[in-house]
Formats: sequence, C-alpha cells, structure tokens
Amino acid sequence: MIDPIVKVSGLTYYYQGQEQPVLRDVDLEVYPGEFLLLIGPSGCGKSTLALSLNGIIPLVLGGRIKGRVTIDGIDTRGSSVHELSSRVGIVFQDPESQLCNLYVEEEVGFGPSNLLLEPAEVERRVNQALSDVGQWELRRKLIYELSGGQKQRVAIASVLAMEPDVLVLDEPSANLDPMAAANTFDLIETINRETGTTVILIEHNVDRVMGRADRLVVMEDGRIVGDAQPRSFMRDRGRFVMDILGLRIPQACEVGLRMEEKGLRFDPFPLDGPEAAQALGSRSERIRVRRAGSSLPRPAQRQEPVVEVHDLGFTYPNGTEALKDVSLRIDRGDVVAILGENGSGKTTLSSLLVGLNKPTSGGGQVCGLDLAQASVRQLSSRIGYVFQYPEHQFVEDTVWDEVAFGLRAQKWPSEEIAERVTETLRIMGLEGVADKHPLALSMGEKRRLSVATMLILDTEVLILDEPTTGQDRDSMDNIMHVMMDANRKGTTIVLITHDMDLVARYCDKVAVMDEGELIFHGPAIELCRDPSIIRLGSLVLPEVYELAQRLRRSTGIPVGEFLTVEAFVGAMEVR
Amino acid sequence: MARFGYVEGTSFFHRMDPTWKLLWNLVVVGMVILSFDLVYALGLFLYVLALTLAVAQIPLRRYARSITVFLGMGLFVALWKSLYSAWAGYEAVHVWYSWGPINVTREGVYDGAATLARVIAIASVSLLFTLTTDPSRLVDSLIQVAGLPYRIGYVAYAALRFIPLYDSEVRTIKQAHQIRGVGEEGRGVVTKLKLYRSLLVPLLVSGIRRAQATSIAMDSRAFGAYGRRTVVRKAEVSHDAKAFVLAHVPAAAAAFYYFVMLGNGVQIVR
Repeated sequence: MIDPIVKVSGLTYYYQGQEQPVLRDVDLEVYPGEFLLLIGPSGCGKSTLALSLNGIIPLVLGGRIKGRVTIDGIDTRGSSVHELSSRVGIVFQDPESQLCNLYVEEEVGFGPSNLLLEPAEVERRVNQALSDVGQWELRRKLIYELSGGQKQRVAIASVLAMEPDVLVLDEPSANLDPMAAANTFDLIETINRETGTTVILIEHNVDRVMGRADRLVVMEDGRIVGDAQPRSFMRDRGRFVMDILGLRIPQACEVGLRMEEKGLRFDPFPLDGPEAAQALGSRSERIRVRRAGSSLPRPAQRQEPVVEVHDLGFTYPNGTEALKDVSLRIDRGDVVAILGENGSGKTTLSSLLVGLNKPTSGGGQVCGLDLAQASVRQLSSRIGYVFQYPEHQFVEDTVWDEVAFGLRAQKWPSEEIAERVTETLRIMGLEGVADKHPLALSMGEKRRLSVATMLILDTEVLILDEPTTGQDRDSMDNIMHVMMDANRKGTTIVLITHDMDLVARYCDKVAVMDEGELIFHGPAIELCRDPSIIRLGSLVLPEVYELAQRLRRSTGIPVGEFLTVEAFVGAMEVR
Repeated sequence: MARFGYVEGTSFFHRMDPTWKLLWNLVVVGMVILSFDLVYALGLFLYVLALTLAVAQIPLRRYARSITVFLGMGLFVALWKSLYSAWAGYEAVHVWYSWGPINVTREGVYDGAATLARVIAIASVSLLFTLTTDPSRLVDSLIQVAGLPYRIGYVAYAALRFIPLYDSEVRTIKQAHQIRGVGEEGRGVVTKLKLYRSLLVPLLVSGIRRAQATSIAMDSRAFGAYGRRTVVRKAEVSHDAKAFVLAHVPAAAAAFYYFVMLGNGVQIVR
C-alpha cells in the first residue's frame, strides 16, 4: 500500500481571536498522483484547509489548532513554511495579488531564488515551468500588461517552478472568461497526467472538471461531509450537493439524476456531456421526445425601446479605442446579457449607458434621455448599476442607512423611506443584519446589499456587473428571483457576465462584444448555433446544449435545442 | 504613472548602475540648491536636458509630456513669487507695472524666473533617472550594490506593482459613488470629509486584504527563507559609470565653496 502524500487527521482550527472553528475534526488522505476535486459552499473552510497544507496555518497565521497535518510524513508544525514550499504549492484565487514582481521571468524565478538555488537551476526551472503552462514566449513581458488568463498561467508557473509534489489550486477559474477557464482546466489535467503532480482543485465551476477528477471531497461548515469517486458520489448524493448545499453539479450529472428519477438507470453514471450522450444513446429505445421543439422563447413583450444607441464609439484619453460603432436596442421588460472576453468593452458600454463616460462618436437614448446630454444624476435616476465588487459602492455605516441612502438623496419623506427600506431588506433577506456595518457582512450578504441599494430606487433599467463573482448557486438564484420579480413588474435587466448557465436560465437576449465591437445581438439559442461567435466571445456552450447536439448527431433521438437542464429533461419521456 | 515611467533603451544612462545613477542625482540636485542665480540654474537645466536628449536618447515628445507637469507647477510658484516679492521689502524696487495692490517688479520677476529654473532643473535630474531606470534593476542594484536588505527592497518592489491596481480601483470607486449620487448633497466641509472617508475606507479594506493575500503568496514561495536570495541578474557597476559620477564631485565641491563658503548663494544659518 502506498503511503498518502497528504495526511490530515483530526484537524480543528480557529483563526486568531475567533470563537468558532473554521475546520472541525477534518480527516483527509491524498495519495501521490491523485486528482482531487474539493467543493463546498463559500465560507465552508476549503481555503483554510488549503492553507493548512503548506504550513501557512498555523506557522504564519497563528490561531488555535488541534490535530495534525503531515506532508510526505513530515508534520507541518515541526517544519517551516519554506521547507514545505517545495512540497506543497498553492495557486491562489486572485492572480492579481499573488504576483509580486514586474516581469514574468522574475515572478516565476521568485520562489527558486528564495530557495537559494544556483542561478543556472533557477533559469532552467523558469524555462521549464513557463513551457509547462505554454507561455514561454511571455517571459520578458510586464505582468500588468497580461490578460487575466495569462496572469493565471503565470501564477501556476510560478508555483510549478518550486517543483512541488502537491499542487493546490483555489478557484482558479473565478476571474476568467469561460474559454480561459476551460483552457486552465485542460492545463491542470495535463500537469497531473504528465508530471504525476498530485492535484487538489478547489472549484465552484465544476462542469468541465468532474469527469477528470479521481476523487471528490465535499465540505460543509468546516467538516468533510463526503469523500468518494465522483461517479458514485454524483449518483448517490448529487441531489444533496445540489439541493441541500446549494452547489453546482455538472449539467450532465443533473441530466443523469433527473433521467434516473424518471426510471432509467445509467451504468456508468455520466459525468460530462459526451458520457451523457453515450448513456442516453444506449437507452434510445426507452426514450421518447415529447415534442421535437426546443425551449420556447418567452412571449414577446410590447416592443418599446428603453435603450437605443447608434454607432456608439468611445476612445479613452490615452488613445485606447474601447468601443467601435455599437448599435444596440434593448426593449422594455427584456432580460439581456452582455457577454465577451475581459477587456472586450462590456463595462465601457455600460459606463456610457449610465453616463459615467460620454460617447466620443455616435449617440442614443436611455429611457428617453440623450446620452450625450444627460448627466449621471439624471441617468442614474432611471438606470441602476450594481458594480462587480459591492464594497466599491458602499458609503454608509449601517446596512439600513446604506439602503436608505438613495431615497434620502432624492429627499423622500422619512416615513416612506422607512417603509421601503424595511420592505427591501425583507426581499433581500437582510432584515437580520440591518444594524451591521456593510463591510462586516459575508460576501453573499454584501452582494445582496449592493443589489438592494439599487433595487429600492425602482429604476426602469438595472445593470448587474458580474453578479456571480464569489456567489454560490443558491445565493445567485436568490438574487435572480428578486430580479425576475422586478422584471415581471416591468424593470429591464441587463447582466454583464461570463456565466453561461445564468444566461441560459434567465436571459431573453444576449449581446456579445469583441474588441470593442458588438458582434452578436439576438436570442441565446441563435448564439449557440454560431460557433465563430462563441469562439470570438471567448465563450463555451452550455453543456446541455452540446449534449442535445451530440444526441441528434450520433443517435436517432430527434431532440431539439436546449439551453437548460429543466427544459431538456422536461422534453424527455421514458417508456 | 506611465507619464514618468521607464522608457526602454540601451544608452549610457540606461546601462548605468541605478545606485550610482541615484548618487549622481543627489550630487546634481545638491549643486542646484546651492544658489538662487537664474543663469546658474538654467545652465544646469540645459546640461541635464542635453544629457537626456542626446545621451539617454529620450524622445523629445515623451520628455515634453513628463516635464510639462513640473513646468506647470514651477510656473505657478514663479508667478506667485514674482507678485509676492513686490511687497517683500526690496530696497531698490523697479516697478514695471502696477495695478491696485499688485506690483510687478524687475526683482520679483527675476526671483520668479530663478525659482522656475530651479524647479525644472531639479525635476529634470529626477526625470532622467526615472525615464532611464527599470524599477526591477533598481531593486536589484539597491540590494546588491547599496546593501539594502532584500526583504525591504522587495516590499517596495511589490508596492510598485500595486500602483496601477490602486489607480484603477480609485477610479472605479469614484464612479460607483457617482452612480449613487454621492457628493451631490452639498459642498460643505462635513460632506467633503464624508466623501473622502467613503472613498478611503473601501480602498483601505481592499488594500489590506490584497497585502495579506500577497504576503501569504510570497511566504508560500519561501520568501525570507534565508538571509540571501539567488542573484539571477548580477548588478554590475561599470568603470565608465563610476568615472562619470565621480567627475561631478569636484564640480559640486567647487560650487559649494563658491556659493556657501564665499557667501554667494544660500546662507547657512549658524
């Protein structure tokens, strides 16, 4: 029997000055060469567990600790962080703050230089690590000039250069567009298979990872509540992960679960699109497609443009042309997503819509106001904007005042303000924290608060910039339910996002930006039919759409096109 | 940031060891502050300008973009000085123009011009430094040549990387506040203070969070493991560089003797 490379036994940990433990009696063994996927709701202790593997906990962060962690037989508490650094390497969530040098080469050589390796060896490792992540040609580049995906790869290379036995990655896809995320997962798998490096991957976005992992570990509230092979775990407890923990599971697994609930039995249980297509195909004699149709588009609203811009262009003072000839019409009551690679102009476009920037060419109107003329103040009374990082928008000392702020600025009578604040806090599930400081809230609460501050203004249009950042599926769904309620009352919703699942489930139309140009505007289903737009927008198709496509092509099942699991499964009848 | 940032090149100044270049900077700045003489300051400015354009080969347009900021600042000081010195108690005041309480005098204008020349002379030396020095080499040199402990040198270096991040974050927060209508309640001092506070608090919070994340990431890659780190790029001080810097020392000494010891420039209060 091989010895585990990582052995965690009875680990309980309290951060300095905290009453409640973050980790409660955690036991975990990881074997050399394994690819382990670790999932759990935000705040469940995943990142803390990661930090305990390379000794940062407790050697650097202190706190109270019980139990022990051994790496390759070495007790972390009897070791040092620098000794452990060549055994366990961690790639942190935000590539921005873990890179501390100006040049790529220096960044990757940073760790090896700290270890006082010979200059020739440092150079060899820099070249090797950069080649491993496929970015050797970047070595002389300035880090702040790189794209998000490139930064992520440099961060991975800088950890690989330490030649660790275990590579831990903490939500590497969190800040990436879908295609960059998919590429990162490919890279991680290659590293695992080709170098034999043990991989522990912490991830929310599991669609394209589940099928590659050897083992799935699930955490909740500081405890490990599941530890098994992904295949058996998804079949037996996929519902628990989805419904109780409120986490995402791959769409293929969701299809598998729902079809098994209808009486089919899959062996093997599918973990990704191709497997699901295979599984369904092999049961084609028992499946009848209820109607050959597709998910129906929502009934058309009355067609009244609320946003209408023509040949809109914007060039920053430094000469960067961020927006080129964008013509776009959004009708009242629509739910629209703006998609595209980071830096493609999504945020610039919305900054023009709310008046933060004035168009340098072209123009248009938002809620009847001329973009070139109207002030931010006039526009923001009609169109709300929820920024990506909630902290940026907070200006008051309590949650209550924060929500009341906008109405006070509009000089509402105080009784009415009180009434509306109470109501809004209730809708957003924030009644319990009304007296807290906004910055003292959890990530999910902060996000809901930032939505509340805009929702209370009852604007005609509401723009949400990357609402999924740092959110579990559950809390995201809560926000979207509130948004859909507002939408039914007539509010137009614009989502700037990378999240294709969100788009598929909620949006009537999508706009795709690429290098400042609008390259697509139409229903999501039409976007899925156009592979070149998908590629240019750095997007990936929803897994269930690809699944249906595969079924149509490789089996005789005449399924239509589907964007959501609900619609797909709803159209399937089992005999 | 980019306005003053490093311009790539291979000139004598680009190749010069940054610590020695810094030393040269101090010598020349020292020379400038010794005297209030207009021609002297102007002469030094022209000397540094010639070095920047001809030797360091910084493109004129790029240079103009950087120096204009100081020019603006200097002009403001100079204007203020030339008006102010009208009633500063000159013995022989040659009034050129008078309008109400404002007197434009020959002495005042001369004084203003001299101040302007001093400001841009000092600015030009510092600019020659920043425009020709790669920050990464500066840190290497400060650690290897000047003997700065690498832990300190690296912290400064990491901070440098965060400047563009902060820059864009400040812009984002300001916009986020604008959307919420912050700053429209009035222009009172209390409102202003509150405005700054609501800008600073999130900035500090994210700054602290980012600093912590960075320090954990650095520790995780064995930062501070030993008293030394591997020197990948050796900082080398060429003879030419040393000779160039040392050649300025006698000139500075002479200037010191003439202006300070003989009392022709700044006065040392005893």
